Amino acid sequence: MKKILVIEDNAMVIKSLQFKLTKDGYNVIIAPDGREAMKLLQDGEYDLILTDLNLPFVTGNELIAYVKENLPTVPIIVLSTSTQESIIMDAFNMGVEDFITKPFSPNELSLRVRRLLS
Amino acid sequence: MEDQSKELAGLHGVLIVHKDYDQVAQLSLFLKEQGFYCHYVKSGLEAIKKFETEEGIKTLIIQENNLPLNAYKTIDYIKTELNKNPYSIVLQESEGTEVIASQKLVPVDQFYLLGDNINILLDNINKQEKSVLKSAKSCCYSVEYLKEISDNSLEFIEESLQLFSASVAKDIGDLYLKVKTKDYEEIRKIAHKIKPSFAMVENFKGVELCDEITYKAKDDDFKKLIEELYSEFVQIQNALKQDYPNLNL
Repeated sequence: MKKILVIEDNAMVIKSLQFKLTKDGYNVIIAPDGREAMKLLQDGEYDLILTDLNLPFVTGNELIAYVKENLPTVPIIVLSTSTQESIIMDAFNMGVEDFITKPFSPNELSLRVRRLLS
Repeated sequence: MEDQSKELAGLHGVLIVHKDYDQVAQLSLFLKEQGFYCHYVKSGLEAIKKFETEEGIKTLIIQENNLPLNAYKTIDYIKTELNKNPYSIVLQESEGTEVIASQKLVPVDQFYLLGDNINILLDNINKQEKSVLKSAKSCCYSVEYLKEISDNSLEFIEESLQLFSASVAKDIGDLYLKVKTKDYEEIRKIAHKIKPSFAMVENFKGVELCDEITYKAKDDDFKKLIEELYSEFVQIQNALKQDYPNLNL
């Protein structure tokens, strides 16, 4: 079973991502902040990371930089409420594979995750 | 205030219950002048009959120590047995009884000591009426998105609504604290975090307010915007309590 790390601090978004991704057949691990995510990344292996950009303790950008340097084969999807072009472009420039705005469309999420894990 | 009351005329019936009409005659006259349709009965038993047979009574004003059923027993019967929910005002004969009543969890909306400022009484009746009209006119939330994500799972929807209630209440509490300490950067972060919660229950006023706090607000605007956000949250919360009475909200 593919393992996905979800890094997100909004409880409702966490619940919906967990529900949808579990239903789609993935093993979902949750980190509610950047610090917890760093620990999980150091201790475990993941097939995909979904991360918010505005996180407590360690920012999304810091996390992305860490993953791209230390786990370059793990794809990242950024989750953000922002539709500001500069924020999206910055994320892509850092090497993220995809971007989804919150609240996400369930079908779109399934498709994008499946595409990166296939 | 007078104009607002008259707008409601024809919609709003008030039932006054007191063993001695002379004691409440002035109150009754005042409410009639404000455009309310006033009924009068002597006892709690008659009040119950009135609620059984008449529609449109939205406010009950009842003497505290009425016999044989006192105000609390009468209100309790009307609310639990007849399943009607009038705005309930207890006419106290002495101050302090509200403490005893609240300890017994009697569903009283207001206490009024005869002779006190009558405008406070009127103001509360009007507020109640307006909030009922407002909630009937516009639904401030929707669970369509939650249904879509979960393929209509009631369990998921109810758990999500409970999460909404608990997490947003906490985050708004944090916003108020940060206003006090003038930590504006943190305020923007918290508003950004709350935004998807309002989006997921499809309250777009809340989404707009979160965006405004996150991206546009100047330091002096935060308090007002947070109050507006809180008021939006309370509206959703009240609607949820009505629509999902079994949830612990």
